[in-house]
Amino acid sequence: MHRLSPALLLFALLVAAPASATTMVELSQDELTYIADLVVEAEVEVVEAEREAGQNWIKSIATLKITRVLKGEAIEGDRALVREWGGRIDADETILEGAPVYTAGERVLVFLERENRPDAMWRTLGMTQGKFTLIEEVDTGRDVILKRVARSGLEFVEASVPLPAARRYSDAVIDAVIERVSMDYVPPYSRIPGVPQWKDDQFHTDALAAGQELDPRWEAARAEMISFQDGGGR
Amino acid sequence: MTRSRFLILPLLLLVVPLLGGWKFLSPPRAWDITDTGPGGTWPIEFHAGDVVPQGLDTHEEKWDLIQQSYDHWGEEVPCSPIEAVQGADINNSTQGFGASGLTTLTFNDPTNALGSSTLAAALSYTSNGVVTNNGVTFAAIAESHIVFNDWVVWGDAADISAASCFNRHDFMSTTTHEIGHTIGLGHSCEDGEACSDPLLRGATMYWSGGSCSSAKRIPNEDDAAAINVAYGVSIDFEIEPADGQELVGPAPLTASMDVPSEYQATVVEYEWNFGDGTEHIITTTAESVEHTWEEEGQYTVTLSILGEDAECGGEYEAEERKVGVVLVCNEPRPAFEFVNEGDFTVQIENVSDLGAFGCITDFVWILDGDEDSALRTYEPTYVFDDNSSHTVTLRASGPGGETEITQTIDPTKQSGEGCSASVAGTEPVGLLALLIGMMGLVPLARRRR
Repeated sequence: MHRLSPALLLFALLVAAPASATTMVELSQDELTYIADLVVEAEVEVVEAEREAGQNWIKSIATLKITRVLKGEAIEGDRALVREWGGRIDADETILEGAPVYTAGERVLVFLERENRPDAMWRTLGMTQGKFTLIEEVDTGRDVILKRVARSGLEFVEASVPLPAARRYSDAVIDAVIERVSMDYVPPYSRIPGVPQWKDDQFHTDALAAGQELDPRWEAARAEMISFQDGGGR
Repeated sequence: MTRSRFLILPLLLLVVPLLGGWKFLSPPRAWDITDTGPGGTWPIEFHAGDVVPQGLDTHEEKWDLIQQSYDHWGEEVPCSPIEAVQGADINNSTQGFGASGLTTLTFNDPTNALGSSTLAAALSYTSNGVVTNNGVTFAAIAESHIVFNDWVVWGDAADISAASCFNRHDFMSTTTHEIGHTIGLGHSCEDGEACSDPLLRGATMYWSGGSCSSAKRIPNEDDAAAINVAYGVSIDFEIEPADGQELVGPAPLTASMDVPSEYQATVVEYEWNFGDGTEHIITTTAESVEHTWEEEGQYTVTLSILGEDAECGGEYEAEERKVGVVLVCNEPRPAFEFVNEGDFTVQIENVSDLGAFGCITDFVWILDGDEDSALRTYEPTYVFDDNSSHTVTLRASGPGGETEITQTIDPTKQSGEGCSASVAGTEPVGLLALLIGMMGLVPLARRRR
C-alpha cells in the first residue's frame, strides 16, 4: 500500500463525498404493480439535487410529467416529484449503488410509492426494480423498455441509446399492468421487508378476500413483527 | 498502471452486452490500512445501535454476528488485510446515515431512509486523503454507516438453516454484503444486467437476497478478486486477439494472453482457464499463452496464481477473471412464424435462435423485397388491404455474419391461419420474391405517440 502524492489532492477533493449501496428483495412484476401507489408513464422534466438541513448526503428530486396513468390517483399532465438517493452539488457527490437515476428528457415507466415522512414525495418502488426507461423504436414507433442505460450529462438523448436486437416492448408490460389493475389482482401474499404496516394489512386482507390459502405461519409472523414494532424495538 | 479491465470493457460495450463482474463503487474508495496511528481510521472501529434487531436474541449475539461479518472479509479472502474491532453502543433512534465521525450500524430504519423491498443500505464518507493499490487510486474512507430496514425478521445461522425457517433473512449475509459496500465494493451484477454467471449470482456482492438463505455469507472468488485489488496482492493479464481478429467474431477465434511484468514478482505458478471446458494450462513462468475457441459462446478467461509474499504471510492465491471477454459467434439462425389475426393483419413472431449473448445485434424485416422500407424491429405487425400474397424476409446479423430467410404470407380476413420459417428449408430471397413484392399493397401500421 502506498500513500498518494499531494499532487492528487484535487482528485481527493472531487470525490470527498458519500457513497452508498443496498441489498434488496427481488419483486415480481405483479408485486410491483400491487404494492405501487402510482404506476405511470412519464417524461422527466428536470432533476435537482438537494441536501437536507443538517445532513451530509445528497438526494435528487426528479419532476416527472405524467403522460399516462396505469394505476393511482393522478391524471395525465400531473407532475410527480420523485426523490432518490444520489446527486451532485458542486464538487460533492453522493452515489447510491442500486438506486434509480433519472435524467431530464428521459421517458420512463415507473412504479412509485410514497415516502414515509411528513413532507412525503414519491420514491421508486424497489429501487431500480421499479423504473424502466422507454426508448422509441424508430421504424415502428413502439417503445422498447430498457433497465440499464448508459447516460452522461444532464440531458437524456433518446436517439443516442442503442437498442439490443432482441427487445422487450413496453406495451406488453403495460397491458399486463392494466389487466392486473382492472381485475384487482392480488399476488401471492408475503411480508415484504420495508412495506409499511398499513399497506401490509391491506395486502393480507386482499389476499384472504381473493381466496388465497395463506401459510398459517404468516399469522404468527405478522403478529410478532407488529408486537416488535409497537414496542419500538428492544 | 491502469488495469486492463477498465480498458477492455468500454471497447466491448460498443459491440456486445456485458456480463459484469466485480466492481468498485464509483468513484473508487477504500480504507487507508496504513492509517493506524492515534486518531487513525484503521482498523475499522464499528459502533452499533443500542437495540436488538428483530429476530436476534441478545445484544451479544448482534455484536458477535457483526464481528464475524467483518471477519469474513479478512479471514475468508486470501491475502486480505481487512480488520475491524468492536466499538460501543450508540443511540439507535438518533443515528443513521448522518456523518458522526463514527462507523455505525443502526437497525429498524430509525430515520425512515429506506423503502419497500430494501433489506439494508450502506453509505460511506471519504476524507481528503487518497490511497493507491495495484495501480488504482481510491478516495480514503473516513467513516461508514449501515442502516437495516424495518419490518424484517432476522436470523442467525441456526435460524436460517433450520427446516422450520420462515420469512427470516440471514443477518450475517446481509451484514457481510453491506460491509462489502463500506469497504468499497459495488454489486457483482446489477438489476437488468444479464447475470447468468453463477459465480456472479453467488457472490456476496450480488444485489438481491431471499429469505432463509445464507448463500452470501462467505465472500466468493469474485468478491475476493475485488478485495485483493483494493487491499491486497492482485494479479492481472492482458488479452490480445490474434492478427486480424477481434475478441468478438466468428468461430474459431484465437487470442493470446500475457501477464505484465509488474504482476510477476511473487508468482510461482500460473493456471489459465479459458472457460470453454478445455484443459487448463499451468506454467511456472509468465510466458505468453495462446488459445483458440472453437464453438459459439461468450467466454470468461480466468488466471489463478500461487504466490509467495511476506506481506500475505507467505504463500497466497489470487485470481483475475475477465468476464465474457471473448465472444465467439456462429452465423445467425433467423426464424419466424406468423399468425393471421383477421382483417388482413399479420402478427409476426420472431423465434430466431439468439445463440450466445450478443451474437445477434440486428434484425431487419423486409417486405416484398423493398429494402427502402425495411424495418429494424424485433417482431413487426403487418396490416394489409386484402388477401394478396407477400414475401417477408428476416435478416439477422451479428459478429458471426449475416443470414436471411424469406417466406410468403397470405393475409386472411379470418383469424387463425399461420406458418413458420427458419434457416433450414426456406428459400433465400430471390427475384421471384422481389417481383411478388412489387405487386402488393403493404402499408405497415406505424404507431406514433
